[in-house]
Amino acid sequence: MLYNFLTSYTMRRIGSAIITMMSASVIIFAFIHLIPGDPIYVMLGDGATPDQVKDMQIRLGLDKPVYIQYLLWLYQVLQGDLGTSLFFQIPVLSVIADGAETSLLLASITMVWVLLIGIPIGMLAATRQGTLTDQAASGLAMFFASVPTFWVGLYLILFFAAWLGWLPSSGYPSIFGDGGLANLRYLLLPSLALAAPNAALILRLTRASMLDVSRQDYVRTARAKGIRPWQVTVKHIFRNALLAVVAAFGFTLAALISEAVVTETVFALPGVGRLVVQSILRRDYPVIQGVILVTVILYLGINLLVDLINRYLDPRVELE
Amino acid sequence: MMETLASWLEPFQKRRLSLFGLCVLILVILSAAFAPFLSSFDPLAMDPINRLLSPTATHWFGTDHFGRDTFTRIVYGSRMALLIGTGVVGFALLTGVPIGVLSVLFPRVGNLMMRAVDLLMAFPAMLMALGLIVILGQGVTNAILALGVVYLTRTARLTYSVSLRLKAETFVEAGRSMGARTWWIASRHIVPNLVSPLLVQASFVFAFAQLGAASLDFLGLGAPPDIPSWGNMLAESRIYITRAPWLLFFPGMMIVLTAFSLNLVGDALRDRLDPRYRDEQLSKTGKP
Amino acid sequence: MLSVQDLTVSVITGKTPLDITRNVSFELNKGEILGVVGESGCGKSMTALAIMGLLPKTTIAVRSGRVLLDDQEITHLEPHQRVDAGLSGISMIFQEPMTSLNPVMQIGDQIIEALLVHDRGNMRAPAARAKKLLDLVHIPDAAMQLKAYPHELSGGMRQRVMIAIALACNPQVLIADEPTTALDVTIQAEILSLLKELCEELSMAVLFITHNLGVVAQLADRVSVMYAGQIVETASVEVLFEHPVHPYTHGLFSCLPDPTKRSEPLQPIPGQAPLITEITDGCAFAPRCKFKTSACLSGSIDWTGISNGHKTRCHHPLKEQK
Repeated sequence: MLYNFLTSYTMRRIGSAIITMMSASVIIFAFIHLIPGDPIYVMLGDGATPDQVKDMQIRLGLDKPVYIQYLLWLYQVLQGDLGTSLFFQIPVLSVIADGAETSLLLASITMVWVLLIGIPIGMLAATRQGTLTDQAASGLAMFFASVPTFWVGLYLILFFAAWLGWLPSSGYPSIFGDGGLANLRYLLLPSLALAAPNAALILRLTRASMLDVSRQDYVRTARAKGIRPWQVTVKHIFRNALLAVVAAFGFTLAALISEAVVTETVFALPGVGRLVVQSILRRDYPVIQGVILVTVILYLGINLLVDLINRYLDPRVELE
Repeated sequence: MMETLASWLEPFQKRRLSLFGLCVLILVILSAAFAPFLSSFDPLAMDPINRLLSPTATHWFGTDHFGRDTFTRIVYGSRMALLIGTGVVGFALLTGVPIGVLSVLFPRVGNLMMRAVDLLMAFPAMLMALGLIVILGQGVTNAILALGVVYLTRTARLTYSVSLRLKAETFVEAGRSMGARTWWIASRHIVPNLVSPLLVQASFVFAFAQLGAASLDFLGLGAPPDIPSWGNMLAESRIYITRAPWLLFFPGMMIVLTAFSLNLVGDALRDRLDPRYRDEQLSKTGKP
Repeated sequence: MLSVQDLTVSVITGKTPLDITRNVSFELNKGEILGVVGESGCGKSMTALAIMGLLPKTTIAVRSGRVLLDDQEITHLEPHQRVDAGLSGISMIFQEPMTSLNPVMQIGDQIIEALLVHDRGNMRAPAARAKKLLDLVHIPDAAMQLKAYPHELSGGMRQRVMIAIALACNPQVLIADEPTTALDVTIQAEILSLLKELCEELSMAVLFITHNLGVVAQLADRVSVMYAGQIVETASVEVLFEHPVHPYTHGLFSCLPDPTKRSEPLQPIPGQAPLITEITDGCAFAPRCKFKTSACLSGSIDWTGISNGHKTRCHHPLKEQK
């Protein structure tokens, strides 16, 4: 029983996620050392005092072999110590935590748009393959998949904020402060801009896999049973087509994280994406490293979750 | 020769929209080649009296905050767009294809290499590109390298899975048992069959590179600001969006049109692909 | 019971329709097994899909002719419309058991789905009835297998599940389109004997479509031979095997290895079956036929009766014993 569980898909998938995470951590550790210059000054900035330099030398274990340095770093990371921001002079983790609310909310709202727009319209286009509806939906999807999010964002600001004055153009005050949930309106335009290309991709994917599934033999079997066409579409075609969409969730998430960096900058949102851009311009390397680490952990974690869900939905799934 | 060309053009006859895409791309290439003949203005010449003009007969697309002619800068910007796209695609192919093919031919080292590629794919594209730019520094070459590494992984993955299948296919098996040399299998059986799927991949990567480079420019981390690239034009005109909305319209539209056209062309080329590789393309790039 | 009259199925996407089958007619009686034999591409599967109401309609459709079940016309009704009209007496199983079951649904649910559609009066304990169906098709450990997913079953087991699903629709007629082609020889025999058994037990008629004469000999009562979209010869199985009269049928037997005459080489029919775009006036087999005369090259070839229940579309039916 225990053996079965330990060799089960879930355990093996979690194991592979941990291995990937550890390997990724080596790259992220190496990042600081790859930046031109002495790692001490990379971590401390040029204005470091001799005492600080000494502390940092011990902290990074620079007198020891590289693998010891890595383990030291890993030990600190596992305790939640990602170093100190050069710019803010506070722990990196709390700098990131400050941006987390904005970024997580932005990503979640965007995902809702992506699924709400992409899946139903993709289904519609597939069931009306070749009609004007399909051609319009597919053409628009292709168009929006080619649009830079920041460009869409700028025009959304122009129309809805500058001209119509319906929505705020930038910033985001926390929903836990003054204004409460109404502050979510600050995220409406950014999430729409961010959703545009990703909804387009999900739409195309839904359409393509619906069409693919509807050609399968088992759909013919379902029709032969005499169940109603809408039941065939929902129970047999849509359910199987959705598997491809779920499996592609990881891709969408990666694209979304990438584009959020730019979107947060356009809308001046106090999120992690804008933080990383500003940190690059400020040469605040510990923060950059921290953001990459946290994002990769989150990304791999969500991918793990998606794979487990996918396995639940599709009993055929096996680990490669 | 003519026959090969005709077979590549065939899918475009059925897809009118893709033909449009092909025309746009040709237009971009022509404007890059003949930029100085297309406009009498200098893309860098400032003219403070005529700043932020709306489109007129002399300045077709208006002028920016320094009074530079937008149309001229867009024409010259196509050079940058092509440079970035070719650079990224070239880098991704020159590194990704050997990695993929060699991993199939030498499975022991290959498995390790593909693990490393998978590992790099654990980093979201923009984050990896930004990290590389921090290490490499800013500039056109480094932007190309940063985006190139991102698409190296995708190209290596695609090459790997297609080559793996090709290697397994019977005719290659036959070649192996007749004592064929590894490099002979690679050059006669694997590489020629990679051309079509990689060409499709290249057109998508070219499109992604446009968007990626524009994002980097927009963040001020790509091409230096004095270079007229479409992304830089958007970044500089950003604050004038309410005063001169057209300033952002034209360069943005150029990025969209170029990426859109590349996607359309890629789609059409994919139609003529073997269905087996079509699935591969889908699963390895996530692009439907 | 099932009557197919002058069924012509055509590809209707082009300017002029392309006929895949032409004037296919046959009768199928209660408890009878009719084998339809022909090469791939001769239109036998399209005939089956047309009878079942499963043609894609926008591209391939019934252009003329009728399908009657118990004298009721069902030609243009899709399966769900037949359910509504109370005329859902035909079920079908397919060539590819590996891909014909929904991969993400437990097989029990796939059977129950069919049960619920076809037995509205009796909604109680569908799981128990699904289990009975699995017993009926000899799936061991049926209660457990209800929870299995298709990929956990072998090809033969999946085809049994397909038969169970078909039976869940209470069919009077079962169409089996090459149901054993994708299976191992030993499994083939098991499925065939199962079909024969069910046919007798449930007094169900079977339309068995195959390219394999040996299978027909084992199973069928009567045989129709199809060539290039037409039935060219029909007879009881004994008569046809004893005395084939159409040159094509005769050619088919000549391609079969005969263990008693091992030294004689097999005699393939010269040439190839025409594509549907190549079919012209006259007998479609004429280009490959050594008995053809000018009469064979024009007009349509009508039926010639040979004996009771034995007829052929040929101007020069063979007299010789084979």
